[in-house]
Amino acid sequence: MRAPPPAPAVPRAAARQQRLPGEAGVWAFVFGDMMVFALFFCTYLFYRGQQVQTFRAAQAQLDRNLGAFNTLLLLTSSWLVADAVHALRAGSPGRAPRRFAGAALCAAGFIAAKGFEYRQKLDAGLTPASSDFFMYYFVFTGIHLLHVLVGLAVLLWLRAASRRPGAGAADLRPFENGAIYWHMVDLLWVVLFPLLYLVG
Amino acid sequence: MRITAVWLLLMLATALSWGSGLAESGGPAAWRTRIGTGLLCLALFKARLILMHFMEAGRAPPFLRWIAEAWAAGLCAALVLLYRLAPA
Repeated sequence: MRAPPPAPAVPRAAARQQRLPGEAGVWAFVFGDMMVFALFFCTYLFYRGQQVQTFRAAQAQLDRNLGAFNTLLLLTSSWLVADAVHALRAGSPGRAPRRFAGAALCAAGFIAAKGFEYRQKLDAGLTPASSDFFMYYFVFTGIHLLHVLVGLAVLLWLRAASRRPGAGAADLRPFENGAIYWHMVDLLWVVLFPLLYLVG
Repeated sequence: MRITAVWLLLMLATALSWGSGLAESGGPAAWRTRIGTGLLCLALFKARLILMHFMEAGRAPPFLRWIAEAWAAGLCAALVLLYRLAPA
């Protein structure tokens, strides 16, 4: 009887490399949310096409600097979260709580800046009823802001979980799940910002 | 470190979009459309970087990786098409 051939080394290495981060359910939720936002983005551009000049004039009333500042905040928070997950995976969770706390601070900064921006708009008499552009602006950024609020709670929970002894050693998936959600919040803003504030 | 390099690239791309957004407002229509198209492509390029490197879809099984690639490429094509179909 012949001995079975030895298992090829390369596919096993590849299988180790190709690992699903987090859990399938989180990815299903994330891709579902990304499809909904993709529809939002297309709807916005479709209706913009019907009244380009009106949209352009309304868009000029947005604060691009504040929008860009918020983008930098979310990108930085995403990087901090990615670094925290790397630290937990490497078995050196020491810096993870600080990274999650930093990310939560960025999220709080985003919420504060958005609140300030909404206040500015409402004070100037700009409401969702002002024009189609401002209806899209308030609805889309509002739904995104809800995602940020949920994300802030997730980040605070991740910070607390990462402080427990042996965090991530037994199961890294809760951290990966939270991180995937937070990166999605960042990703959606990265498209929403140029669409609403810059593309004229 | 790879994720730090990705973060720096994302920050630079944001600065570039913000700068071109400012330059875009005053120019002629054809120039404006070109910048607008560039801004949309840059946005989806950034989204793809986040998907592949931060969300680690780049190292996930092919099924998930291709859904991510299809989302980024499909949305980029749809947005550019809708944008360019609109009157300048």
